[in-house]
Amino acid sequence: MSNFYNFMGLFLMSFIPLMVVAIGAMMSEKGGVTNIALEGIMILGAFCGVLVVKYLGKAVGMNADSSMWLIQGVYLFGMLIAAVAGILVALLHAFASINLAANQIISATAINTLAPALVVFLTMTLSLGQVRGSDEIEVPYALFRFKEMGFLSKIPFIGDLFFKDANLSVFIGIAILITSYIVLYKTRLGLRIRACGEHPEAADSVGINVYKTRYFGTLASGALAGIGGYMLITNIYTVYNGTVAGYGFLAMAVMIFGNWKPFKIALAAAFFSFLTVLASGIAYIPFLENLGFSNEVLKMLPFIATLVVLIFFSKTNQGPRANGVPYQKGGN
Amino acid sequence: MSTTVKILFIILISLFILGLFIISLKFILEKYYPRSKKNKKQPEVQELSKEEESKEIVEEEKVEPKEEKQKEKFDFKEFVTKVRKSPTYKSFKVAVISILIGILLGFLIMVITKPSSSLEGLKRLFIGGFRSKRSIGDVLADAVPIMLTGLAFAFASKTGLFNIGASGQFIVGAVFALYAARLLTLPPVIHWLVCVLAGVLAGAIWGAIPGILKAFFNVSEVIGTIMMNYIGIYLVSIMAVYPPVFDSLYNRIAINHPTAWTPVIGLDKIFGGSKIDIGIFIAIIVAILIFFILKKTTLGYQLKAVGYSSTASKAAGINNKKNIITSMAIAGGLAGLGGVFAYLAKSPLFLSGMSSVPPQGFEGMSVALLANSHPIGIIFTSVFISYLKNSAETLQIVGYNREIASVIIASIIFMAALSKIISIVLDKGFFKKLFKKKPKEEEQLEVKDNV
Repeated sequence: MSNFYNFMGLFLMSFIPLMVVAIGAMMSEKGGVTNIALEGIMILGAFCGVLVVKYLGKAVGMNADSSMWLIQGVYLFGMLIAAVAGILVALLHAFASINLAANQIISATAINTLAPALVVFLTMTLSLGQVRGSDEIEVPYALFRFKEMGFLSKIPFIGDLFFKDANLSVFIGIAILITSYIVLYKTRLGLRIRACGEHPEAADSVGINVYKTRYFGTLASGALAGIGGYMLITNIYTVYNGTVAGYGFLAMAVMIFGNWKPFKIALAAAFFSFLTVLASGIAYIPFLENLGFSNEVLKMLPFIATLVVLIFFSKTNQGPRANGVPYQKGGN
Repeated sequence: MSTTVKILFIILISLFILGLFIISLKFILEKYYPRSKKNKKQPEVQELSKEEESKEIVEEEKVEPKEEKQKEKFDFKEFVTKVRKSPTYKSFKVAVISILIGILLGFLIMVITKPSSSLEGLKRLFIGGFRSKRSIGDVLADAVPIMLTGLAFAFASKTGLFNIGASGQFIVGAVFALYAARLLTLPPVIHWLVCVLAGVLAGAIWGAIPGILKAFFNVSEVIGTIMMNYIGIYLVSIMAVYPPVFDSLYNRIAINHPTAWTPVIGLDKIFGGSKIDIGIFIAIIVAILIFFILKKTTLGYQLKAVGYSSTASKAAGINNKKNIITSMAIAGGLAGLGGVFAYLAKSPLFLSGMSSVPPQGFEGMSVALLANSHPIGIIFTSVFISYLKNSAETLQIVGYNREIASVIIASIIFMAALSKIISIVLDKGFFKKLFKKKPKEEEQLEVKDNV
C-alpha cells in the first residue's frame, strides 16, 4: 500500500497547483478577459513567495527543529505575498485589456516575456541565489511537509493520504475549488461575472459595471495564478530558477478541457496530472514499469491522451462568448 | 566627467539614429499598407484631422495666391503640416515613445540594481551590437529563426487562429531536417534543399494537426498547439538518441554533415567570421512572399475573410475548414523553416533531449506583436530584438545579466498595448504645453499692453 500512497502523494503535489491555476484562468475568462499571462504571473508570484520564505525564514530562524506553527506561518505568509504579487501583475494586464480595450494577447505576452527575464536578472544581479553567480534560489520544500499530525495521521486511508508527507496546499486547493464554485454559481457577483463574459452589452444595460466586474475576475485570476505558482514550486522543486515549466499554458489547456466549469476543471486537471505523474512515479507501479515504456513515451502520454479525449468531447464545448473581446462603454 | 559627457553624447546620437530608423520604417510601412486592426477605433479622430487639414490648406491657398515666388516654401510648409497632421506621423511618435519608455524602464532597473555601472551598461546596450562586423552578422543570423516563428504566429493570426505552437513546429522541423542531413547522402546543394524540404514538411504537418482538430472536431487551437508543443519536444528527445544520428561524445545530434550545411556564399568572410548564412536572405524573401500571399492572392483573401468572420465567409462560399487547415499548415511550415535555419547552419544550435518548450516560438510571438502581425514589419522587429539581445550579451562584463534585453523587449510590447494612452497624451498636446509655455505668457503680456 505504501506504493499507492507515495504515488498519490506525487499526484496531489502536481494536481493541486495545476487545478488552482486553471481555476484562476477560468475566473478571468468567465468575465470575458483572456489571460494568457498566467505563466508570467505564476513565475513572478512564485518568485516573491520564495523570496519571502527565504528571508523571513532566515529572520525568524526557521529550521527543521522549529515548531510547526512557525513553519506553516512562514509558508502561508509566502503564499499571501505570492497572491498579492499575482494581483499586482494582473493589474497591468487588466488595465491594458479592460480600460484601454487593447488586444488582450499583447499585454499578456509582454508579461510572459517579462517574468522569467526579470526573475533571472534580479536573482543574478542582486545575488539572491544559493551561491554567488547562481540563478537558483533554494526552496525548503521538505520543511513544509507535515511528518505527523497527531490523531489525524492515524485515520485509516485519509490520514495516510492527506496528513503524511503532504502540505497545506492540498487543503487550500480544495477550499479554492469549492469557493470558486460558490462564488461563480451561488452569488450575485458570480452571476454578474458570467454575464459580462457572455454578453457585456446586455449586462451593462441592466446596470452592471462591466469594467469593475471584469477587474474582479482578472485580479482573482492573478491571485490564484500567484498562489498556484508558489504551490507548484514549494510542492515539487528544491530550487527555483525562474521557470514554472509551462504550467501556465497547461492550466489554460486544462481549463478549456474542463469546459470552463470548476468541477470539470478539477477532473480534467486530475486526469492530466495522473498521466503526468505516471512518468515520474512509475517506480511505484511495478506492473506498468515492467512493460518497459521509455520515459519519453510516458511523458508524451498525457498530452496525446488529452488530445484524444478532446476529439470526443469538444463538439459541445463552448467558452464564454465575449471572451477576449474588449468592451467599451457606449459602443465603439 | 569627460567620459560621462561622451557617453551621454553617444546615447543621444544612438537614440536619434534609432528614432530615425523607426520613423523611416513606419513611413514605408504605412504608405504601402493601409491602417490595420489596432487603429480601427480612431477613424473619427483621423477624419477630423483630415478635415482640419483641408481647411487649413484652403485657407493658405486663399491668403497666398499672389506670392507665387515663395510657392516652394509654402509647399514645404504644407508638406510639413500634412505630415504632422497625418495619422502615420502620430503612430511614429507613439512607436518611438514606446521604445524610448521601454529602454528607459530597462535603464531604470539597471540604475536601481547597480547604479555604479548603469551608464556604461546603457552605452553597451545601444552600441554593443555594432561592436564588430562579426557581431552585426550574428545579429542578422539570430534574427532568422525568430523572424520565421514570428511569421508563423502572424500568418495564423490573420485567419483568427492563435498559434502558440510555433515552438513545437520549430523543433520538429529542425529534427527532421537533421535526420535528412544525417541519414541521406546527396551532392552538396541538393542535399541541403532536401533537408529544408523535410524540415518545412515536418513543421507543416505539426501545424496542420491542430488545424485538423480545430476544423473537424472543434478542439480549440490554443489547447491543440500547446499539446503539440509538448508532444513535439518529447518526440525530439526520443529521436535525438537514435544511434545513427546521435553523437554520444557530446550528447547531441551530430553535426558533421558538410553537404547539408546552409550555404554561406562568402557572407561569413564579409562579416568577419560570423555565423551568418544565406538564411537571412531566404527569410526576408519568405516574409515578402507572405506579404504578397496575404495581400494579393485569393488564398490570402480567403484566409483573412475566415479570420474576420467565419460565418460571413461561410455564407460567401468559402470553405472554412480547408482554410483553417491550410493556414495552420503554412504557419507550421514557416516555423519549421526557422528550425531548419537554426539547427542546420554551419555553426548551429545543438539538438539534444529537451524537457522544456524551446523559447523561439514565444519570441516569435513578441516579434509578431511588435510588428502588429505585418509580415514586412516582422523583418525589422526581429532584427531589432536580435540586436537588443546581442547587445545585452556584452552587459555581462559590467555585471548585468543578459536577461535585461528581454525585460526591455517586454516593456516595449507592453507599451504597444498602452499605445492608446500615449496617443491620447499626444492629442491633448501635453508636450506642446510643456515646451511652449513662454510664448503664451508673452501673448498675454501683449494683450495687456494693448488694453
